Amino acid sequence: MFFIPGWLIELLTFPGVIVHEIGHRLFCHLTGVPVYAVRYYKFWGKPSGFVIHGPAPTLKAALLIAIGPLILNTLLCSLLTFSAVVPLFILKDSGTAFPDILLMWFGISAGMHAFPSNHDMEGFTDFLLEAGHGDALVMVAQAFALLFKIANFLRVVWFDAIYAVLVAAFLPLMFGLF
Amino acid sequence: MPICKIAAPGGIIMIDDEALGDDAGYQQEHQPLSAASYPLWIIGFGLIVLLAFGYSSLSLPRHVSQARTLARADRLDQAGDYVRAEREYRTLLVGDPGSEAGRLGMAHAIFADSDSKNDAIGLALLQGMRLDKYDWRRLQPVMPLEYEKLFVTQEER
Repeated sequence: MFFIPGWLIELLTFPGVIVHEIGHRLFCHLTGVPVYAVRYYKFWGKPSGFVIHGPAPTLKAALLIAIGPLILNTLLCSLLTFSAVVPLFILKDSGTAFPDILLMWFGISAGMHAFPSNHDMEGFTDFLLEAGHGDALVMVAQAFALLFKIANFLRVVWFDAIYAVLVAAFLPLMFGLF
Repeated sequence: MPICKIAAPGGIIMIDDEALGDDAGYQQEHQPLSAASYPLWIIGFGLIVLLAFGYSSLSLPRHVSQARTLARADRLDQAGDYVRAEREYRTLLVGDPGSEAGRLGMAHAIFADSDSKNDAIGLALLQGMRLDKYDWRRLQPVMPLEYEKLFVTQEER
């Protein structure tokens, strides 16, 4: 196991950060929540990206906005890498085209930034508490948030990259290509 | 009403409420972004990715078909049906002569079949290829001994 500084990983996978923020923004628009400001990516920025939006009107909207990146980044990772995985890793084509390498980079970057951040999930559980939802629902949400916290913690052992690779392998496996 | 803030992956950071000031005031001062208003550099970056996706998608059906042929050939090769495996590998390599997986599989089937007259073809298919330890483990048991010395080991860094 080897360690690479987080800022370097974030720099190398910056398209994933951009897609992550677009994921939040997209689901804000889809659920009718106003978006006031977006930072898509800023190197050395703390945070490197964010979305400032108005309050979510419903539980569904709050959930979709929180897990928007999980949906969008995972979908893009799966779709974009599919056409690149086959020539690069299955056929092992010696004349691999640049677009395939670009798609692989973009797709894996998206996959690596798919998990909602701890802050994203805290926002969701805060919404439940403030909106006075039942204890059971809050507990489910907190369990859900805990799962993502664990996933985010496991990034130190490349869990985000493992997730991206698994997502990239999903469609080729479904098509029986391995 | 509170303004919800969502931070980026990798950690982070409530924007301080006091820094934002009164949330209602913030909402009055800041117009919501329209759904279609994205910065030009984001649109440009998206277009490049879209173009790459379009280009790659054009060859996707052919690549999927070739990958299926390869999977079929590998299954036949593993089952010891080398003649049919060679036929499948040949079909793949006619369409995609650059496929190193196809060349490796074909070489394996050629070395493993009972006809040693074709072994030179198997060797030629491997020319210029870099084999990892898994490839080597697969090939070495069936490769004629005199060919083994033609390969050099490159130490991993």
